[in-house]
Amino acid sequence: MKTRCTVVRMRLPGVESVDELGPRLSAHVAACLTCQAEAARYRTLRRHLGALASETVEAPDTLLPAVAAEIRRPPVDDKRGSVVRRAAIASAAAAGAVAAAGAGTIIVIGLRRTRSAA
Amino acid sequence: MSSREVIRDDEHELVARAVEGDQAAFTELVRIHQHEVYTLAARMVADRELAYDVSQEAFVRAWRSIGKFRGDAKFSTWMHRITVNTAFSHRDRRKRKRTESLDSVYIEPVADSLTPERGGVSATMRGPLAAALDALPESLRSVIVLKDVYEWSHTEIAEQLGISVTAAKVRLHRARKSLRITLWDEHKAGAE
Repeated sequence: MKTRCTVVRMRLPGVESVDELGPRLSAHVAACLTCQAEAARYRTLRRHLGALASETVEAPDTLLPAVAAEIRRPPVDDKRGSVVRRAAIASAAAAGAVAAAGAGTIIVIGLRRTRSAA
Repeated sequence: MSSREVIRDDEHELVARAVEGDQAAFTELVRIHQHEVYTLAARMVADRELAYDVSQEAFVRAWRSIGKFRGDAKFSTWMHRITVNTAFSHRDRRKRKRTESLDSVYIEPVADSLTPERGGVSATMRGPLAAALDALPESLRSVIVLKDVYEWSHTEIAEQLGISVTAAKVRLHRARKSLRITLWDEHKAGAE
């Protein structure tokens, strides 16, 4: 394959038209059937892709009611939620600490009574 | 006044009401744009189930931020951006096993308003093109879909995907080259 054909082949995917290749390569394409065929393939590809824009795929019937239900739901206040969650965790931790301290006290008292009885 | 202008005026009114918090108006906008949004989502993620999730979340995101919509772009353009954003935020979920190919998504368009000048996708080309697009890596597919299907500029694509303009151009180049090889070298039948 000629050098210019190779360069054209390399650059064609990145351009919208042969003119963007510059005067020398454009002139080559005008005279080279192989490069013209290659340029035509990219043109066809872009045309078919562009045509897809006009084609719409039907959304499932459940999409609209699902979105409608979702937007009716009151928004979750994440900040408030996290504050409440943090408060709940702190309360649980405090309760746990009190319970642990109480258990410790009971164990110590129990040990003292056992020693004094002995 | 043409019917298209009437629709546009109606939509303008719906958007204005939605901005004020009118759920019914927003639901009507969802009804109007659901197929378009779902189509874009399906093309971005190449998975019907995920496209459904992306579409639903995109509309919910749009509803939550409708107050920020200033109307300097069309509602559909704004929805497209939100949909693309949402599709990318679902990136991790896309790694799950695909259960359905995108082929069927492309093969059965319901609203085909192709102009004669532009021409449609030929029946012989549609299936292979859809399959080839589906087979592209997500990073390449998203760029070629936004550029060659939806006619976004390189700058818009770069901004939306968080990449440089050069990277967007490189990805487009690779995507087109890959499709060209798949359609004409690997799948020779009916490509022209």
